[in-house]
Amino acid sequence: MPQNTKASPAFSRRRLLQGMAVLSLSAVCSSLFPAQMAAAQQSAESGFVATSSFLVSRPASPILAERYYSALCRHYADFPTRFAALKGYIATQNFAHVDAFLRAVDATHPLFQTASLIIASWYTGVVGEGAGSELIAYADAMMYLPTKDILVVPTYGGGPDSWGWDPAQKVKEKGEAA
Amino acid sequence: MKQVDADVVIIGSGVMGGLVATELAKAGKSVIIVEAGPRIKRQEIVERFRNSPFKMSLTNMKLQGVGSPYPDLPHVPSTYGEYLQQTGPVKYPTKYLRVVGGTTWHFGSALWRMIPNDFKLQSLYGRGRDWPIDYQELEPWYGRAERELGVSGMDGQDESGHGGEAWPPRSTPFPMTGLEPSYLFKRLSELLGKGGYNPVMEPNGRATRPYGRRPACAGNNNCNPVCPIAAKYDGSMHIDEAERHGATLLDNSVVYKIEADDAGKITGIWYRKPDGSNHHLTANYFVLAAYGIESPKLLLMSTSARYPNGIANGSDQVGRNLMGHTGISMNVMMKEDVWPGQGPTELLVYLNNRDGPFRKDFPSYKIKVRNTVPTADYAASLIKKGVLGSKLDEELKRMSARSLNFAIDFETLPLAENRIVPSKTRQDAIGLPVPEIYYSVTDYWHAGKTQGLLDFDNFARLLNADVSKIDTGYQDRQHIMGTTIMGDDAKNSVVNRHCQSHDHPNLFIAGTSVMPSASCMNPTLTGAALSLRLADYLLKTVKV
Repeated sequence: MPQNTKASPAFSRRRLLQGMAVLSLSAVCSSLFPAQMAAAQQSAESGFVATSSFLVSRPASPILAERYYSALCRHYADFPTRFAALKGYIATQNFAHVDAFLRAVDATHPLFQTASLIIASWYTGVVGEGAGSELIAYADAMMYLPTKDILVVPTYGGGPDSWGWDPAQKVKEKGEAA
Repeated sequence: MKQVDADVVIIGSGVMGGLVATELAKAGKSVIIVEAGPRIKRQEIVERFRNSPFKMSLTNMKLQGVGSPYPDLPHVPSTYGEYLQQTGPVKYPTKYLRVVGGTTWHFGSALWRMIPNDFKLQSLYGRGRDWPIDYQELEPWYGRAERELGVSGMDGQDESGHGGEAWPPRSTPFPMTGLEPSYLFKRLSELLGKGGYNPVMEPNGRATRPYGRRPACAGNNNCNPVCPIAAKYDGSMHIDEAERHGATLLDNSVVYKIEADDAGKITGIWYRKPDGSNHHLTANYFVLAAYGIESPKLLLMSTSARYPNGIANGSDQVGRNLMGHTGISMNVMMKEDVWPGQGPTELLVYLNNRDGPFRKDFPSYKIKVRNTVPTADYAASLIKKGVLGSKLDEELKRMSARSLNFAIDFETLPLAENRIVPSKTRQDAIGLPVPEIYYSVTDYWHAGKTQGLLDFDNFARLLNADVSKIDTGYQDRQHIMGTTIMGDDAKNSVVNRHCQSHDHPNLFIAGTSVMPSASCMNPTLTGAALSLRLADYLLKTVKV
């Protein structure tokens, strides 16, 4: 499965490839898509990766962050402003965990709504509304992480005879938290 | 006979057309298969599925037009969009695929036999119609269809649902052993068994060992919309085989007219290409295999001075008797982790009310448990409700582990008023009328619903689960039957017991549209058995 990228040799190679991808993407973007290039630069400069990591309580991929950020800007014209407000607020509060932020802000508040939009993007892998929605990530969508090792991401099956056991038993055997 | 383009022209390249084409081509006959839609490549459909923001699911039905990974082309509009016009009190939003290989590309792959009593509904229970043939007549063809389609199943099960001895009778075993049941299926069998519910594992088209060119099922949990590895049978496999034996396939060729001479003989067909050009084909024999909506639509469109009501329609039954498995569903929340979504998308069903004297009063039905990976639906709905942070991960896990969906499929009866006709007001992009569907249910269906809801109550109690939702909104199960109904009497049926038109001896109809009764089971294997029997009749009796 694509999110199984823990092994260290693969990790370093992946990082290298990611770097190369950023370079080539930048080259292409700057020549052909100045608007997207500007958005990507804004993503890097805006602190979207760090804020995303805080909101989803886990490391956020810089490559995906760039794609989510530019998609959010495309679908919601006021996103840069909304995001700046959210980032500014979080910076002033020193929350230890996103749960503290969620307790501090009312669900109807614009800051909460912006946080929800960013979390929804990372979790579902989709940005936008209704028929205009756009897929940014499938197997790397974070919604699959809580049930990883028990349920597959459809089309990325576990192989013949990879089911039939009691998931509770299997998780115990693997020494992972249930 | 005069010079013709082929011995046999087959209209439609789904499983039924593919089976007939393969049998005829193997016997050395010249065969042309005419398919309205395009050829598709599995890897492209898989990629389109993965890249789509809308995954097929039970909860975003409205957006499935956007989400179907299959082509939606001007000359073959997708049935996931606005193509099918609904005019009746109950919607019949069926989804079939107009591509080479047909609708089995996205079927769940349940491949059930009917049981003997399903063929005698009128004489046993005073409901619906009897078939002109009985189970024993079809039994060997069921066996052959199971081998052709590569069915995996559990020998020895009582598929009538009574927990008794093996039923229906079989002269041959399943070609492959059954799939391993998931933990969910085992646990449900245990809990529901205490209430007298007998678990039955569905025979299906997923390979459990390499079978022909198919690998074993790898638990991709994606039977619908597409098996990524071709472990699950689909009709394109028989089209490929027919072509290897010399059959010719014309894709993107929409047949819009069947012609007959004054004596009743079918002389040719006309088809239209996406560029609007019209083409003619002749043959000695014709097999119509365009499934339960396009087949009758084409017959009804083929009007002329001699045949003002269309081809094969002396009985006025073409397009009528539309049946389906109109259903209901229940969502429950368990108090223990059972994890639906492991392994293939469906397997366990309950058939306690598949057959019995009750069919005088309410219809046969099956209860099935959904086993699709639910993550995407839950994530979207939780976030919408404001569930974020640690709670989001916890809830995703809890709902995925404990939320279950049970669905009931009811048998419906052949009713003359439930019908499909070519629209008089709307056309597709190449100027052909779209299908218009009138569908309704009777008190008989509602009596079944009442009974089914009692089972839902029992299920929730036996599972110690809380009911979160019950939907009685006439859910469509995409099983089209009855629209070119079979019978011995030319006055009230379209084809005879050999699937041969009463009006046109050189016209045959293959598929589930000829079925005189629907039972409560997925009809594909019955259609396949009838198609193989039809091919045999063409070769041995008609001597095409």
